Amino acid sequence: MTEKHHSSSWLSHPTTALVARVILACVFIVASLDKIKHPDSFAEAVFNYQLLPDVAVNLVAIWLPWLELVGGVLLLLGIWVRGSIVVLSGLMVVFLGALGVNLARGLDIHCGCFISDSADPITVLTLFRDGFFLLLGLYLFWLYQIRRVEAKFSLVRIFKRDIVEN
Amino acid sequence: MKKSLSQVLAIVIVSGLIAIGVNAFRADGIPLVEHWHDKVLNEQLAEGLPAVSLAQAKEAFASEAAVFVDARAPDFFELGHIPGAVNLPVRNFDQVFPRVKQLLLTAPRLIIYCDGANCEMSVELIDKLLMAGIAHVEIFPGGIEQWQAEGQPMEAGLTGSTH
Repeated sequence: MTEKHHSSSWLSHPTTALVARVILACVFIVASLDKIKHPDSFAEAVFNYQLLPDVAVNLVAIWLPWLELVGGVLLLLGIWVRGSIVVLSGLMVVFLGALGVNLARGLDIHCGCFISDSADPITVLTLFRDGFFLLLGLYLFWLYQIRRVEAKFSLVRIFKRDIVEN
Repeated sequence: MKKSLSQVLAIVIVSGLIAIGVNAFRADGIPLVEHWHDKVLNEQLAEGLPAVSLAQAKEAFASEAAVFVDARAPDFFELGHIPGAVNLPVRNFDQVFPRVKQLLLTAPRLIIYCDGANCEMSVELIDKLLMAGIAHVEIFPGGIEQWQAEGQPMEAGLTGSTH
């Protein structure tokens, strides 16, 4: 019982939450930059997954990196933390599904995960890496959505405090 | 929970608007809708490469008139390839090419393939081969997918691998 309590307090510690938040946010921000810079290469990577109809490929390739960037920046700054965690965890579930399907299909395609136009093949390691990021997302979801913990080091809190103090 | 869902909706809409707005104004923006299968096929043909149909590929295979070159990574080659094909992964071209150069130079015909009509590794490999002075190349756009779907013989393992 004591051990359980200890582990729970460790998990709900603000520093643990902050580290997880910063890691997840930075992963998505970094991952979005090259895709935004090279939309044509990323569209090709999306097409190669062969999961979307032709007409949806470019729309997803244009929109998805911005969803990653906006979600990542909001999570980093502590604005709309709950919403951004749902978005980023949802994206990770979709990525894992897409990677898993193509690994099972045996298609030799670029991952397109971080760098859209270079050799970045999908391997089992890619699944483990994304699985770890999903765990971070689920942990933050549990903390902020289920346990209703308030995010520390958040711009929203800083502004709110300023308003109260003034 | 309702608040979180409103936030999700807002993030989805805001990111979508930024994405479409930026794409519309940037010089290298891409069309919102594109017919990708046609595009890739056209790119393969636009290179002026002699394309080999499935029937021609079958004929070349049966008569042993050509060497098939698989442009995919070794892991995928190992899972299944056209029997007798040589694996020259486009991503490890510089390391692997010297080992197969003589074989490719002496082959009467070279038929390059990868996954299928959706992959561009064949075109990339042909570009590299042309740069290396090997010009008797043809492309089989149907690739391993069409070959397998038509019930043609497959070979698994690393026979023909250059690793």
